[in-house]
Amino acid sequence: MIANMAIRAEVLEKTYLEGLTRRKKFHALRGISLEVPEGEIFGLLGPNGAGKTTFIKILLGIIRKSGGQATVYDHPAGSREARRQIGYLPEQMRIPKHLTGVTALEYYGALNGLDSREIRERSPGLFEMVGLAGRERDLARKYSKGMVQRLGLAQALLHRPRVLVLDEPTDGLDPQARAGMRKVLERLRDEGVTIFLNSHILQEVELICDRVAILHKGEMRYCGSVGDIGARLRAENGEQETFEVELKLQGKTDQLSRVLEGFSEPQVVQGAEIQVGLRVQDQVELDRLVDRARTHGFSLIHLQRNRVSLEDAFLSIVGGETTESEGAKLS
Amino acid sequence: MKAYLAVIKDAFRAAIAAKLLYVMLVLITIFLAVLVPLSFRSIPSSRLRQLDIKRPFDLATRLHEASESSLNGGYDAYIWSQLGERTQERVSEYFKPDSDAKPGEDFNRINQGDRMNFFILGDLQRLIKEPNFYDAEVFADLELEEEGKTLVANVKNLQDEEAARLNRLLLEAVFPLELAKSPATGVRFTYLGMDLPFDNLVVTQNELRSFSNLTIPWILDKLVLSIGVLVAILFTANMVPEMLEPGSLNLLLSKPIRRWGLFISKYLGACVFSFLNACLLFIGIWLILGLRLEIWNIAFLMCIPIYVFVFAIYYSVSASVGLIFRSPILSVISALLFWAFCFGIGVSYDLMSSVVESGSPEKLVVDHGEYVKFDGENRAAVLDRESREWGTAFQSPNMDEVPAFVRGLLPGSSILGLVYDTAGERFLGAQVPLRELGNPFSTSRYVITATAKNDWLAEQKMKAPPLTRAVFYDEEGSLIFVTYSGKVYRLMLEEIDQFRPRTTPPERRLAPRNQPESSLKTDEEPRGTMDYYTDISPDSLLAPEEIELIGWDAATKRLVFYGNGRLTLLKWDGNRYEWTSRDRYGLPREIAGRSIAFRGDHVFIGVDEPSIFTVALESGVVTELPWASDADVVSMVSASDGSKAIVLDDAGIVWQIDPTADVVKRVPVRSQGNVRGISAGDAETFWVIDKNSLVHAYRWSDGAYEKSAAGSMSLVQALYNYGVQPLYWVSPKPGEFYRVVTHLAELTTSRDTDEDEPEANSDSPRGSRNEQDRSPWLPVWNGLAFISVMLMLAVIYFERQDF
Repeated sequence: MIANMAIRAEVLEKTYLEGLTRRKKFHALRGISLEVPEGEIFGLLGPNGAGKTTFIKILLGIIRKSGGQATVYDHPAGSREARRQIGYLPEQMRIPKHLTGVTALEYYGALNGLDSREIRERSPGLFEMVGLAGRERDLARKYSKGMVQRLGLAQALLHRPRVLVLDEPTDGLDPQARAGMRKVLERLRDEGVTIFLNSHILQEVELICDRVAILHKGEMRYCGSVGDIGARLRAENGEQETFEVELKLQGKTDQLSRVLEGFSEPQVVQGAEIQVGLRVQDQVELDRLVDRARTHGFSLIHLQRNRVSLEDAFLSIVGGETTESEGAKLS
Repeated sequence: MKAYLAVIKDAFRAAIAAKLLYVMLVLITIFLAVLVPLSFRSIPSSRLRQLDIKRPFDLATRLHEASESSLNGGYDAYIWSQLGERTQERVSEYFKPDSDAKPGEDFNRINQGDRMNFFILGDLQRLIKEPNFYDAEVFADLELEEEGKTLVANVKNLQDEEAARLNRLLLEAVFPLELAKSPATGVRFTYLGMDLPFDNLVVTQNELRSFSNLTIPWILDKLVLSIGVLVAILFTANMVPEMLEPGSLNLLLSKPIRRWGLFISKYLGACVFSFLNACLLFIGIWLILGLRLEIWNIAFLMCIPIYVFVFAIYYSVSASVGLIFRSPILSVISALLFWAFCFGIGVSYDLMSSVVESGSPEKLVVDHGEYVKFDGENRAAVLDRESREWGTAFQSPNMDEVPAFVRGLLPGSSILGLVYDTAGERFLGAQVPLRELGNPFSTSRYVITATAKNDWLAEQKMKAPPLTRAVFYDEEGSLIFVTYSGKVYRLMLEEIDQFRPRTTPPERRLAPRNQPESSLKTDEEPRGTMDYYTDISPDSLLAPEEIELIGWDAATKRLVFYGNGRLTLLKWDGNRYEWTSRDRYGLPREIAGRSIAFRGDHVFIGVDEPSIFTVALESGVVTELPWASDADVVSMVSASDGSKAIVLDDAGIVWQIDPTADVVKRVPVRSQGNVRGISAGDAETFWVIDKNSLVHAYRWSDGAYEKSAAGSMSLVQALYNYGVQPLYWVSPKPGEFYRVVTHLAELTTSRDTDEDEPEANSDSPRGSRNEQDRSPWLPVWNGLAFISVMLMLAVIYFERQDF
């Protein structure tokens, strides 16, 4: 069965013209193509100025694309029909200071075309869900940053959107609230809501996202599952697939060199336990290593197979560079 | 729709949260609290104003006759005896039998008469307040109406105000034709229950109505509305910039609403806020005026939409600037700058239009190739044929002593019968002397001559006959003078040539106005004034009311006088003028005349109503021509053979009369609607001058354009025509909405105006002729157009902008 495509971008481009007299072009997006199927949590990553926010703004119709196509459930991105499908939590969410939690939901709900009865019915559950129950009648200006974010999430969910676009949703949240947010998002995914996440916090993305795309200088460098990112990186670099292992052994240290014979540059730290770090070709070689250690009278206390983290992959892709100065304004 | 209503609601919510509504409420309540104690009470009407004396000279005459009457009794004599000594002296002086001129004819006598009337008014006002004025014996037989009789029956127990009322009724009964009837009651304003101590605040109901129609809207507009709008602008300036803050705007734009709808809703939200304030304010004022002053004028409630409308005009600027620059401070500054712009344009327009109007021509004389124009202030200018520029003309040589910038501001001296003497290559006329400058009643004139060689300076000759009304040029070498009294004099041109003042001309300096001529030190002329003139008057003089208009046919030297619906032809018998009963032609009705043109067999008469008559002298046929103009006749001239004439009406349109076809048709001249003067020119062409002083000739035969004579418009005029005036017409006029309210107020109250009462004093803060000419709805149309343009520009920007 072919999944419903919630978001689709094809060769999406955005070029800004800067300066009044000497018009200078700045390419914020250079032919981005991606697809986000319904019910997926999709992470959009990239350093400042990579074009993440530009991409989201095009989806929402806040800015106009310079080329290519983007659709939300087959409606042109930015159209009112497309916007109807989306719940949006902006980065640095700001609620007008004269609004309370309740009146904010009334206001934003009405902007989404809900009538007041629907808003009244849905609001208590949402306040409960985002953890604002009991504070909903306070003025928003008395809310902490995290509470404003949570109220922002509530307003984004009020009209039961099919796509949730979150721009740095956990920014300003404490660890407990982040965990809460994760749970909410997972629940929404289970309910079939597509979540498009833009975040700097890679651990968050790694934990929650099914797939990610990494943008750099307006170009897409990677789009795929989080689990595949290491293999993809090695394949792209032409490297053989190896992995690191970490072992903790107990036994006679004079036998250790015989166990590690044939492994290049093993890292050994000797203490009450002998800690060894080395790279193996594959599982067969690892099994052989374990057998050899047992044969030479070592007890295996701990074995850990280290894989490539998203952060490693991200840094590897963007080469550790940031483009803060050139793109901060546009991100 | 729900979404946009939510934006409006949110704007209002923001205003309430920011305590704006409460601040406005407090301000409005304070204002209303100050107004509440103002009230009025009805009092018996007794105040006598100048306008209540309908026939001041008749009143003075009756008093004077009473003073001379041998009978001591009578009401007039009693009232005469009660007048103050100085008033009695003034009356006696005025009616001194040795005064040779009739009352009202001579300026000095007019002046004297005004002073006399002023004294009579003062004394009558004093008598009205006099508790013991009523004398039972004197007034025993006086017929009083029921109100008067009741007061007389109670005369011993009357309060001061009732006694004054009785006195007023007595005066009205004694002078029923001379004094206006007063309403039974007037009103006196009170504050906190106390009478306001100003006598001129005692007004009639009509004046109160006029006050409510004219003055209150003006006060509301200039004070309440301006301040209210300014406060509202300050309070709402942040609404749009706040919406555009990052984090707030992106969220709004992500919602499924249209951008233009979002902006317009925000804009309307602020307008709703100002609407509620306006309701509070103006319903409060309306109730106070109604409950306290009994002025239930529904037009005041019109101030509510007008207030909102004015706010909307300013806010369209403020919101648009807020949208583009996202700064509340810039929003407020832009609204203030816009106010300054509107104010500046309005003031510039008023100033420049009065300058341009006063300098624009009102009359054209074209004679033997010389072009002379006169402006509204009688300032004359002659066209220099080489440079095609207008140059000042007919100024006294003594004007050189007056600084140039003052000279430009001074009015010119009125000139009668400016005619060109081909033999002497000079203009001739009868001019008011410099010392009478600006005196509209002056009848004293001197003969002047002016030549190109002498830079068209007016050389003053002998005095013109007293009360000269018209001057004509007889090609056989004389000037013909016609006076107000119907006298006709001839002055031979040789007399003018030979005239030499004994010393210097009589006018050495500007004399104080109103000073009798005799008291000025003037040099004696070699002969008596009238020694230069030959009396060629007809034996039987016409009554002054029959000499409203005077026409002259140079070819036959005949004169025509029109007045009281009758035309009289005066024929020249070689020695003097004569007329018989056969020379009288009656119009179908008695209509006041406006202008007359006479050549050949035809006399053309433009009269009030407006209407045009032709009189064919030979056949005696009088024809009223069908004329499609509603504007009054300003001037008429006829072709040298009398076969055609042209008419200029008050709307600046030129019409041609063809007496053979009995038609009056529009002539296809340039600047139709802006024509200010016409001149007969020669047998082939007539001349037209427009408001820009451009002079063109057109053919008599078919009205086709023939040629141009002058000139270029002045820099001020060009600036006005192509800069200030168009800018004024297109720019909004938020400061002129009181005219809409006034207009509506007058519409709603005009139906029940009490006609018995004398017209209320129309002293109102309304302005010039220009202002009156403007449509009362103009500010509304301008405002609507301006708001539309501003919002459209803002919306286009908002729709196209990437945020």
